[in-house]
Amino acid sequence: MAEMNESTRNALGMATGIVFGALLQRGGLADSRTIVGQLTGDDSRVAKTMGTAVAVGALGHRWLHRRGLTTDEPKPMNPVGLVGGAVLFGAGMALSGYCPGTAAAAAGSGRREAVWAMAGMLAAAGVFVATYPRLKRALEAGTLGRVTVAGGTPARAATPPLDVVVRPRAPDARVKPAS
Amino acid sequence: MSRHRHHAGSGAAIDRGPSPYLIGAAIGLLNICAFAAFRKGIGVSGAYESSAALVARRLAPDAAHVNDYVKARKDPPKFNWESWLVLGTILGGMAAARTRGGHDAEVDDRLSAEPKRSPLASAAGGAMLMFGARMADGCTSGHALSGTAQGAGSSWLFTPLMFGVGSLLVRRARGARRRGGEV
Repeated sequence: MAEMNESTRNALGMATGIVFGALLQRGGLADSRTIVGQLTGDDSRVAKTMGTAVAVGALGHRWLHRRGLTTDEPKPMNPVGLVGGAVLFGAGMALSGYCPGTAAAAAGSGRREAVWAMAGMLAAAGVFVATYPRLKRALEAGTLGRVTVAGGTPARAATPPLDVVVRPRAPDARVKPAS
Repeated sequence: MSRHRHHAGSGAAIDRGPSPYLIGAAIGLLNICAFAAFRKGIGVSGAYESSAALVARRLAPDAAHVNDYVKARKDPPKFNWESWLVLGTILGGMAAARTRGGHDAEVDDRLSAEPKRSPLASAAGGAMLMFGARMADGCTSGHALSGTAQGAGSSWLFTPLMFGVGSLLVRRARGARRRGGEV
């Protein structure tokens, strides 16, 4: 897609958000009970919704990527940041019943608990900003760069076992020179 | 695409809403649009960080840690399309709740099935998960929705681990509450 100017991008971002928030609310995901219900196994809507969204998104991404219409910049494989972050995230989601997107939709829909959750998120984002310069080295320790999980290519009849393609980028992808 | 089975009318308290598969497919299509338009999938938590950084810079432009932060991150914080996306998400949730009749909070009061979360639990949980999301460079949208669709190894590590930890903790807490209640 052709380069668009800043305000067009922002307007499109806003429009995307409006549809996203409405879908989360209508799907019942803008509700801590639905998310906690998924974690306890009593409500499968989160898994069904996300599973479908990922499957559809993956097909579309593959299609776009083959035509050079989107970039493939997977988030870097930083084991320390990912594992530590996932543990904290899972615990926080269990406690609040929200995640950053569903909290925004729920806050808009009038749930006060989601406004509290968003306040906590913004405060923690501030703490992260303040501590990031000191955390950066630890979070990126032992990074593997940008790793893509390839497999299940529809073009092939037999699904190959998951193979990990390690594609180290420029030298700065590994360790930033200490400044 | 098939239509909704039916539109939720007034007072649809027991209505569980449209099929999760339909909602999921629509979110998937929306994400494809994002991949094409922004060359990046939907992501939410990054906007919280850049907003916090912008506020910090506004409040204390000379504080050393703000400058260190801007130096450590490749690009300086900006209020960009991702920030607008979060504002849009709030508006979308509002519009969807209003068009179905009232606030979700009012419906909650009528149902009052489960105890609501205390403000402290909500805020503390929100703080924990946001710090985790920034450590991992993504959340349920950036990693679990978009990263997995891209086949990112990082997202396929983060997503099952995050849901697994959350599930384990919720089940343990529930078990402990039950045992406590019986005694």
